[in-house]
This record gives sequence, C-alpha cells and structure tokens, in this order.
Amino acid sequence: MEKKKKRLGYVLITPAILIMVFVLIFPLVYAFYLSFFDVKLGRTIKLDFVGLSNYLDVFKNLEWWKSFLNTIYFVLADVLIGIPLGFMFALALNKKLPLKPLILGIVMFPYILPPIVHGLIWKLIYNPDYGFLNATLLNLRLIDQPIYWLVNTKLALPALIIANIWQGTPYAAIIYLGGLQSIPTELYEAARIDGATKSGLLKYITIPLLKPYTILLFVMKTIMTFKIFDIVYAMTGGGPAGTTKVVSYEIYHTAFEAFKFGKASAMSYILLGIVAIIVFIYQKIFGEETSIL
Amino acid sequence: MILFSFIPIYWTLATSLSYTANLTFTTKYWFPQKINFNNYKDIFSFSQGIYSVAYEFRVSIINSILIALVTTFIVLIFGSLAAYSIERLKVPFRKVIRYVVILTQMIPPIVLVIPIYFLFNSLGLLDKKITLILIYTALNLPFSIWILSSYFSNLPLSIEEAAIIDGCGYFEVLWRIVLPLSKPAIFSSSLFVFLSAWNEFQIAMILTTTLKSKTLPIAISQLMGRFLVDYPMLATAGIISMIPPALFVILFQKYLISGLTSGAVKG
Repeated sequence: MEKKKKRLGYVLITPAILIMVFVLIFPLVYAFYLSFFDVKLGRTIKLDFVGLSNYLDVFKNLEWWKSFLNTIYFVLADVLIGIPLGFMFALALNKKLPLKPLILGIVMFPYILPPIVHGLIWKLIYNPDYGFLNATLLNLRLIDQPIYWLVNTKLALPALIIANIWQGTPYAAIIYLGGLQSIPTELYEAARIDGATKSGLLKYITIPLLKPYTILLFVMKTIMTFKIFDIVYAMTGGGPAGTTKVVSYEIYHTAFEAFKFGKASAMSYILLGIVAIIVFIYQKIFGEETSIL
Repeated sequence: MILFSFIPIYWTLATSLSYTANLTFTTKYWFPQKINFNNYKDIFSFSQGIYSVAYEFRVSIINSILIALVTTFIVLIFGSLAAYSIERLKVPFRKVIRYVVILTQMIPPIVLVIPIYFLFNSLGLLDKKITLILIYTALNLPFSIWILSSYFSNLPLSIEEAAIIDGCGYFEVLWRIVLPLSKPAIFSSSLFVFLSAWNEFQIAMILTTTLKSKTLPIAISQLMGRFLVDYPMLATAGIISMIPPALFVILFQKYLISGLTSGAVKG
C-alpha cells in the first residue's frame, strides 16, 4: 500500500520535474559549460575551449565593473530609500480609511505592472517636450527651458533610480502592512496605559516587532533589484555614454549584440556568484531570521 | 502617497487620450484639450490594415492572452499534482522544491536566456508561442507548487482518510476533496502565474521575432524604439497592458495580497 502510494506520487510529480529540469536546471548547467568556451554561432555552433580566460576577461573589463557599480546604486537606493518609504506607506495604510481597498489598490498597482510598461510610463514622465515633470516645472516657473532628463549624463541614473523606487516601494508597503496587522493591539494599549508616547510606541514596539519583515525585505529587494533590466532597456538602453548600464544589460549586450556567448555566460556566473555571496553575508549578519532560506 | 503612485498612471492615460498634434496642450494644462478614443478604437476594431501599428498591437494582445491563459492552466494542473504527491503521497521533494523556488527568485532571467536560446534554437523552437508557454510554466511551477503544498498541508487529513477507506482513489480525493477545499490558494497562485506571463519581457524579447509569437510587451518596446514615436498610440498600448493588473487589483485584491505575503514570508 505504502509502496504503491509512493510510486503514484512519483508518477504525479514527474511532469513538473521534467519541465523544470528541461527549462531551468539543464540550461543553467549548459551555461556553466559554455562559459569555458569561445562560442561561434553560425549554421552550427562552434566551440573552442578557452579555459578560464572568459572569466579573466570579465574581471579585467572596466565596462563590467562600471555596470556593476550602477547596479549597486539601484540596489542601495531601493533598500535604503524604498524600504523606509514602504514602511511609511504601511503606517499610513494601517489606519481606518474611507475607500481603503481603492487606496490600497492604487498603492500596490505599480508593483504588478508589466516592467516594460513601467519603463514606458516613466519615459513619458521624463519626456522633454511632452513629459509631466518638465510641464510641471515649467508651469511653476521653476525652470524656463525643458530639461533633457534621460540624455544628461548626470541626471539619467538618478531619474532611473527614482522610477525604480516607484515600482519597488509598494512591495515593501504590502509586506509591512501584513506585519503591522500581525502585531496584537493589546501591546499598544498596555504601553499607552504605562504612559508611552507615539514615537515611543514606534521605537519600542512597532519597529522591533517588524524586524523579521525588515530582514526579509532587505534580502528580497537586494535579489530583485540585482535583476534590473527592463526599465533600463526601455528608458535609456544603458546610455547616455553607458552611465545607466546595469549588469543584466551588460550581459544582454555581450551575448545578443556583440555575440560573445561564452563571455556572457561567464558574466552570468560571476553575477550569480556575487548574488549568492551577498545572500550568504545577509544570512551571517541576520542569522536564523533570513526566512527565505 | 496616492499621488506618488497615481500621477505616472494618470499621465499615461492623458497621453493616450490626446491627439498627437495636441500633445503640447495636454502637457501645458495637464489635461487633453479634446478627449479622443481613436487609438483604442483602432486597436480593437478591424478598420486598420495588417501593416498598421494598431494591427500589430491587436495580434500581440491576443498572443499575450493566449500564452498567459495556457501557462496558468498548465501550471495549475502539474503544480497541484506535484504538490499533492509531496504533501500526501510522501514524495520527499519538499526541500528540493524550496531550493528551486529560491533559485528562480535569485537568478536574473538574462542568465537563463542565453542557454535557453541555444537549446530552443537547436530544437527549431524559436519564435513559437508554445516555447514561451513552456518557459513560463517552468519559471512559475516551483512557486505554485510551494504555495499549493503549504496550503494542502493545512487541510484536515481526516476527510481524505475517510474517503480512501470508503474506496476512493487518490485522484478522486485530489479532484473531489483537496482541490475544492484549496480554492483560495489555487486562485491566488493562478493570478500570479497569469500576471507573470502577461508581464514578462526579457525572455520573450530574445525568443520571439515575428507576430506569430510576439507578446504585448515586445510590441510596445519595439514601438518605443522607433525614431518617430507616436506617443498617444504607445500610451494606449501601455494602458491596455494595464487592464489585467488593474482588474486583479480591483476585483481580487485580497488574493493578491495574500499571495504576495505568503510567497515571501516562510510559507
């Protein structure tokens, strides 16, 4: 009976496992293999073994490290600005509000949009001639000439970072809101009777009790923002002068525009390694509480 | 807070309803001079020829809907079978699935795209809807299995045991007892699968070339890349692509929130 049960179990899980192995696991292994070769794509694929030289090339490649640094800026902004902002949103949403579902819907909407449309929306905001930002600044007479936000080498990266925070913040807000609702109200009542102030409640009850959620957001947001690609592709294509290039974009460019598939695979594995190291460091810092692992 | 979230959306809507020649007015007064639904009509009617941008959007919308629906359907079937076998038939893959979930969350899609491109190129499967369906299925399966199996594990065993003693097969138990009891989890994970297939860009960009399989995000990005951009038309396509997420957020908010939180916090 038990044996038969288990056998049926393996039969039922097989389709799911097959698909995942075929589309996730095998390609990952294959990319690792490719990263040691010089890949020439013609009528047939030609592979020349080059050992570690793809990896060494990437480590010496200044463009790669530039795009890596840009990615770090996105991650830092998303973690250091996006998480506190999401926390404030959650505090505001945790009150009794009229039309709360509608407000909650509007707040979480940016998070579930297609990322390419997210890029499109912000391209319209920053458009020099028809964009909301220039229109508003001109109407308020704060500027008298339209600003070319996405073409300016100093402004493009901050402009993209703001757009990215716009999409990332709702996630933090929703997670924190869930956390806030899990805190028993008796705790606040008891503290209030003991004479705690509003800021005291926040400092000694809310923030410490939300710590697991904060840790979770640190990990998730780092991982998610490291993948950033679509809005960069849609809004600037890595320009002007490479100032908004991010690692995913650099890999894409190396593979599908420069056709260096071996090198791009090496980049992929270096990126995976870096993300794994960061997650590992987080785990060391936060210990057991990194609930996603 | 509401303004921060809403203004960018409003601006896209206002642009989509403007006449191209009147965009300067829209920009100056934050509102279109004359509201104009022509772009929407062009996309949803058959008045425009097959070389028009409207036609391209129409076909890619249909592709997107098809791909997202079929993906959702397949993920639910294989996902619930897998979740049931882990939870009730003692297949020891729980840990493995958890690792694959983390893996799919960690890996930037671009890392998968290169080998997948080679793989499907050699199989002659580029630029096909079925290819995208297969890939989206694989990307969404781990998460759905995880959500479903955690939900199954909280269902009372006694009903299922009684049914089995009464002579029900495991399939019948799954189909008649477990699945009906798990409606909330099934619903919430199907929303996420649909959205993720509807939203996906990077993989579709590399693997599709023609209208046979092009999805809406691809059509949008290609129009954005043109030298002379028809902003109202582009904004219209953007607004249309927001319809499913908007509907979900209005109608099924509870399920979205529960999916977002349960997907991240333990499970």
